[in-house]
Amino acid sequence: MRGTYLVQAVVNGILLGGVYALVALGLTLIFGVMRIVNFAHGALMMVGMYTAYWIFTLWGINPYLSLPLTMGVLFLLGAAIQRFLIDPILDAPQHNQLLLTLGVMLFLENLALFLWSPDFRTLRLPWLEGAVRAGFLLVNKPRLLAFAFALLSTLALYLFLKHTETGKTIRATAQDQVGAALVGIDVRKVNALTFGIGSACVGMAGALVTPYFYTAPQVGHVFLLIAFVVVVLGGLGSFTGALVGGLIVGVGESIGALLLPGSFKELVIYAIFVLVLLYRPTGLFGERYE
Amino acid sequence: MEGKRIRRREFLKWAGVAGGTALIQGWPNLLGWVAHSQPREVRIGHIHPLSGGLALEGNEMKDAITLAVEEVNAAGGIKSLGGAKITLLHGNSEGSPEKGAAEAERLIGEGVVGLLGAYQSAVAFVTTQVAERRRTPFVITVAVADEILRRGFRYSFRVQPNAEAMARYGIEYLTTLAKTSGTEVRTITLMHENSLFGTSIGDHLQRFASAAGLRVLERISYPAATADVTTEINKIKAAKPDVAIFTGYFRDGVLIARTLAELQVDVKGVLGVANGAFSHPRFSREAGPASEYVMDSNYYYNPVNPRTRGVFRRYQERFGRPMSTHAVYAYVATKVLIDAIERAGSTNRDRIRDALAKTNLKDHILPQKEIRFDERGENVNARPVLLQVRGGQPRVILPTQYSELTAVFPIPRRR
Repeated sequence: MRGTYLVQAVVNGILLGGVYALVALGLTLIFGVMRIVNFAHGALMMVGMYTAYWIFTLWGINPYLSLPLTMGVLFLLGAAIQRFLIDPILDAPQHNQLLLTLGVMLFLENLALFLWSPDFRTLRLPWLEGAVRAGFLLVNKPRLLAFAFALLSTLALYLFLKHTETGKTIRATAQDQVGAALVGIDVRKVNALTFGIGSACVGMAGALVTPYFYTAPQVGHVFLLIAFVVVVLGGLGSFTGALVGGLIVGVGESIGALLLPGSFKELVIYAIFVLVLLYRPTGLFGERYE
Repeated sequence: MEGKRIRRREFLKWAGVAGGTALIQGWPNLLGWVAHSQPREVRIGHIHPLSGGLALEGNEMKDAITLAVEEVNAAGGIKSLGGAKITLLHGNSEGSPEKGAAEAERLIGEGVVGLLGAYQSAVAFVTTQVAERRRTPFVITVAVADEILRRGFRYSFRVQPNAEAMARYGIEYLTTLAKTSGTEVRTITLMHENSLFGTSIGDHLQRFASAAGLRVLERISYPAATADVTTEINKIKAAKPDVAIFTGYFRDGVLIARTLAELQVDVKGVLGVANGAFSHPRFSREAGPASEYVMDSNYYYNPVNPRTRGVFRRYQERFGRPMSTHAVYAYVATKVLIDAIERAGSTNRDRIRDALAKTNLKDHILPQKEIRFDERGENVNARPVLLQVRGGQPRVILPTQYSELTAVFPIPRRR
């Protein structure tokens, strides 16, 4: 009996981890290229959730169909934040950039609070409620969908960066901003593009969780801290790291909740985190950077 | 010499006349001065989370307090103070004790004669402490932790049933329900959020359940801002309790109800104790069919009192949303404070405190007898009621003198 619940917990953790990975992906991409720790990431996720929520509520288009639109909105928002707010202070000391992204977070959250009230909203898709049964396993349908989308988009993004011209310029910029500029890459454009893609990723994650989670102005906090843990765990700037880190955190949280008493589930995540930092400070897949 | 004496007499005479005239002429002024010491406004303040994760609840309570103040002002203000109007000052705790304490200091500095707050036990803990130190009456709107009033404070009062009463009645209602329906209830699970609020109720529940002969199969605590409760609910499913009990806030409560339905957890009853979601009017809208038959032992209003309907209608008209239970308690707490100011006939905070201690308010909309405070400041007649979601609406099912419907227990098997 205990065994089946353990398997269930692992499966559930993997599904959870897929979404964590998608959130962390944007964060790690932005950090990899611009060396900016983006505190506004959770708030951008919240904007993605509201976009999906309103498209569904106003026009009845479900969050899966409206994904391109949500991602487009988030891409433009992210690119604009980079172009007009972050770009001017890219050479400033790191703590200034931190404060700026923190400011953007507070601005977005309070704007949401003002526009849409602090109400918790749930987007309900009756055809998607309930679980799929596979033997003794019960798998929540929207979670399964979210996981599938997360995995697919991670793969797509990986191929994009690896094989397309634009992807290569992004990677070149990530390696060396000055060097990239020297060979004729428009670094500012690449930065805006990267921030846009990172925002679109987290917006997608936001849209995908709306069918089973709640939407509220401060909802980003739930995911932001976890995303930071995932990114550091996987290695700052590493793609594979974000995916593996997300899965580890998801499964760790899920098993922790099953096996440990009380609210120790968060302890598991942070224990793993501390251990990795102690014995492999660059994260699991991280490379040394100066 | 002679002239000098006359001059003195003259002086005295004129001085007397002048003084007398001044006295007579000054009389209206003197009257005016006395009247002026009757304040035109009486300031009261409240501290609630108006932004942050609990902003929804905080703002609902702010609205309820506003409604209570507006009603009193429209009916002529504080009569014993010559119709002085009440001015309400807002304090935003942002959900944090430090901020709440700072806001309490600020409001007292701005001259409030009484404070209301704070929705979170942790915030009420420190704000009542500030109020005690500054000798300012504090009426707790919602904050269940027993310890708040176990510190010998003289200026703090609580209308709402405390954690112990919630748990005691919660278990009592459950055993009543089992007995009247002839259903065997022997085992339970407890799941509560892990702050002071959930933990203190969890402790009491465990104690009262054992005393009632119920076996606690699992006790699970969780952080309210969690992304997922699937594993926790699976643990409950594995334990196979007769009844599963939950204590938490709104967002996590909705998540729990949906997960229970998703994982097809089959129990005889789902019972909330002081649950922020299970008896919230918006619960069914957010949780859907998963909300049906969910029960909650919670502080509530009296649904069979005709005055309740009036208050609810005015709230709905003024703020465009249904009045939730914590809003009701914010409303009643405000009325209790204003009643004390009226009886004190003064803006002296010590006199208001003494008047509060002598409160005997029968005209209220709570499911209890008169509101009176014991020496700790607890409302002696405070009690929760047992509610059940029926047709998407929370309905009172116990105690019988306040009930709207009879209970459905055990609940039909989930399909």
